[in-house]
Amino acid sequence: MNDDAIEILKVCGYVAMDVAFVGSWSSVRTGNDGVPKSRQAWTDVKKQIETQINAVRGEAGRAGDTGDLEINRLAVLRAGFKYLGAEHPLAQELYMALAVFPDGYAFEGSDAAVLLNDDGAVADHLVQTAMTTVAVLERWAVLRTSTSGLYHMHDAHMKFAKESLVDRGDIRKQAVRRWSSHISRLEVAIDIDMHELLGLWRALSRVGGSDWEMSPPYDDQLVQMDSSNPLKFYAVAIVAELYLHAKSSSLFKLMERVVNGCRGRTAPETGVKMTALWYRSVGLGNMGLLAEQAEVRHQLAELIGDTPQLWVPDEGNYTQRSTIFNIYGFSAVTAGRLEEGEKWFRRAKAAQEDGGLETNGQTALALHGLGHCLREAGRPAEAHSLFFRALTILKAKLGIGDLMIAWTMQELGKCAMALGKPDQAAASFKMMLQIVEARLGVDNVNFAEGLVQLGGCLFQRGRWSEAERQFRWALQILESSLGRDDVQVAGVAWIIGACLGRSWRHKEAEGFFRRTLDIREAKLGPNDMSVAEALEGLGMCLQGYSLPERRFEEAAVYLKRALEIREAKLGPDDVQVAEALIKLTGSLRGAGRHGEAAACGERALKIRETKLGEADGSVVRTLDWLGRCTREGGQFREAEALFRRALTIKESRLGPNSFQVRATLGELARCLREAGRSGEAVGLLQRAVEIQESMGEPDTSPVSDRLRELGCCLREAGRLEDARRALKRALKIRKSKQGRSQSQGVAQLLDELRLCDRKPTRGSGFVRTFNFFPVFVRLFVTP
Amino acid sequence: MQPETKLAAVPTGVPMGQTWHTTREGAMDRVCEILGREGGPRLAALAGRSGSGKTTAAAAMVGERGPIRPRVGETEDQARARMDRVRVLFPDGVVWLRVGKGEGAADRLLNLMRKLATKLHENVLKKRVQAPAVDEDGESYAKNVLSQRALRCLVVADDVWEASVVEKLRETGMWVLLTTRDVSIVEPDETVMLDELTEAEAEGVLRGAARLPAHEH
Repeated sequence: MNDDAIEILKVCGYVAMDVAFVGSWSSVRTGNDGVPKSRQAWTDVKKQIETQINAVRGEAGRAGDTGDLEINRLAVLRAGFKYLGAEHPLAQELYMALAVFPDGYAFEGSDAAVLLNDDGAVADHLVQTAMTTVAVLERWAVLRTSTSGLYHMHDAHMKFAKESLVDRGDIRKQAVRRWSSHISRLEVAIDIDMHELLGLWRALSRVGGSDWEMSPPYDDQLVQMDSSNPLKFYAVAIVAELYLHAKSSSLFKLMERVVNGCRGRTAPETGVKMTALWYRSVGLGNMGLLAEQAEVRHQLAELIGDTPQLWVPDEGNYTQRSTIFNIYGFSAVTAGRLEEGEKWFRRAKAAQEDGGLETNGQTALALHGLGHCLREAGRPAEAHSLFFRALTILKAKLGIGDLMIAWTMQELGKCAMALGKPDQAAASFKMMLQIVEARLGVDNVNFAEGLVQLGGCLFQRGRWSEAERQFRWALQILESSLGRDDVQVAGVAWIIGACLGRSWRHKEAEGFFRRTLDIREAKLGPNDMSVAEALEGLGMCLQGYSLPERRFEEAAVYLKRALEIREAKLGPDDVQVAEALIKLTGSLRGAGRHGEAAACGERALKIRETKLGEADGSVVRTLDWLGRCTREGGQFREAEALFRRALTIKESRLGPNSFQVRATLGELARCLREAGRSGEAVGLLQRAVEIQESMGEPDTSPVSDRLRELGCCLREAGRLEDARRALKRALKIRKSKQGRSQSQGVAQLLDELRLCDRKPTRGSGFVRTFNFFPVFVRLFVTP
Repeated sequence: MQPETKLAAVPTGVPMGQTWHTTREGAMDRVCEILGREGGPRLAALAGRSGSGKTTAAAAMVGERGPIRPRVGETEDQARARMDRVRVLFPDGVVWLRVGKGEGAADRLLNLMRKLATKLHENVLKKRVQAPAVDEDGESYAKNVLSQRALRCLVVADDVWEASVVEKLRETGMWVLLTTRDVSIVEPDETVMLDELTEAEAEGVLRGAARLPAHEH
């Protein structure tokens, strides 16, 4: 080879693709006559490349920020581009037209034919011509073909093609029009994976094509498609999915047209109708039109209920079959038939696996549906893993901002909550909210739902005020979207009341509980279970410590009504009835009706022992609770027996030094002291103090309280010196603390110390110490 | 008579060759040396800039062999053995996996490994074992089925950009041949540089593309 040819190799950096590209130029390539071109041809090529190198270097923004090799490559591509046209009349056009594809897209010869011909022509001779053109580009090292018969454009050429296409309006418009017209045909669209179809439209819009949503091409074709066509359901699903990943506002109207077009009741038509109803329901849900959505869901449930044998298409590929299985799954779930839904989703998943399509969009939907069924069936761990897998597929296919990602994040959050991981759940709900905010706006009811779920996580972590903020924001959205008297508004009002109650703002909480009660009674009737929940919230709130006067009698009226509703709905022996009984016990106890309280407590205990077993945690809590009621009613022997039983169970379940053992020791000691057996209480209180100290809390207010109780018992047992020692230590701890309650505690301890200098009388000690015992009635927490 | 050497089938999806493609014999020797080392699965990386022929070289090592052209003093069988020397290392099968930029991102990596598991199942195991379950990791599936059957398989991962992909491939228990522009994602002793053709190779490509007679050395 001559020197200029060798020089060209240097300019190409000895890079194979660039060298092959230059060698393909018609000015140097040996013609069909077999006669090599002259030496001058290589000299001319070298000059042309050098001219382009200088031009590239001279362009603003390129010099200095681009390496020599990149400049040289661009120069080679620019200089050689004209020879593509000389080699084959269509090669240059196809080269640029390929820029309508997404990067890395694998295409077939028939796709190239579409780009080169109007009307999406794929006649054999046109495909043949296109293949000849493709072969030219392949020989020029622009394309690679694989054994699977698909072609890829090399990324360096794709970049150059996109830049060139932008500059050539005549070719660009033609290519965009042809490709867009091709994929606008419904019969073509249903042969493409739905996520890939979305990618094709997005790539088109990046090179000047219009977004498909501007003039939706599929709507009329879909409506006009014969409803008895066994693939129409799939066409409906593909178009609906496209709308779902773009905007939902037109989806439900289109689906309505499809449903109205199904006049017969043939098996495929039922499949079409079910598919359209399902997607219509999803579209309405995304828009926050919940009443309309409920109506469509009702229609769907009726349709699946009226169809004894669901149709399964004989023809169709794996994806098409799994699509109809997914639709049946979602329909069954909508009708509340979770087990049936699970079976359909498993069939959809199996069909995808059989087809080797585990990363396909329908697989993600099957996993999503199956996860929902399992979560609802109380299997959150399994559901979590399925949702996570669905999320992986969806993120890879759709990017992170798609609504389907948001719904999957929401499901993951629900699973995490069910698994007792509120922080993990909160992270999922936050991500869901970000997407929903960006796609649907902050006024959408789905955004409000996410806020409620996030608030629930914060509530569970004890962050009441942060939770309250989320709930109040959700309330505002729901009130303006659904009206002030909607049952969902009532639900959020209830949880705000619960937040306020936990924050000791019982007066404010009362208003929210009353509002909840009013809405639910009006909308759902006086005997609905949710009315019982509202009554309980209100009843517990009326006993709140922050109220100027705690209204136990009034609370008992509400709680008794709640109990009656639960008994009527669930039967007298349900565990929920036991909980309602315990709540009522608290108000009766506060009202001084100890006998009634003890009777309610005993009944609750019996139910829990029978239903949950004698060693269940709730049984132990009931024993403590009942012990307190019985003691306050003056039945010390009975109370002692209950506390000792609770103590035995706790010691065996939790070990001798648990915090809960300490609490029961304190209760038992108090019972013995009130029964005049202070000497026996001493040992129990000493053990309680030791447990508290062993937990690394030697100088806290609770230790001080326990020491004061111990001091009183010692004094009453005549052990004055020991009593003084305990009381002085309690006083020292109190003095080290600050605050009003601390100074009151100091004053009372000083009183106790003074009593040590007098002759002990059991009555005086009892009266003085009574108010100091820790209060165990806690709002909303049942024992 | 010597028994016929067991040769892996040509994997699906491997790019086809061009007449002007040049065989990078040095690179092929180095790949054989790395992948043939003892002590379990190995990784070799063909590294070089865009267009340097990494994919072509990898395809030439595991794809359909072209016409057999014995060198001076070489028999046809010897020439065939030379051309098949990578495939012969992996009698149980070869998988071609197109990777691409961004596939190493956390949200895509699992899908990529699923794709590998599916290809392994369909192309190598020929559906003799159960397909990967939907909720099963691709790399775990590959590792389990290969170790249970003591199979020696190669995955050719084309156009790898991220270290996370390399790490996942290592976990499969397969031998790995990858192409990449980024040498930093593999160890130096695993790298086979393909940045530039030698002058003779470049001249061969230019002659081939320009349909000039082959250079006579």
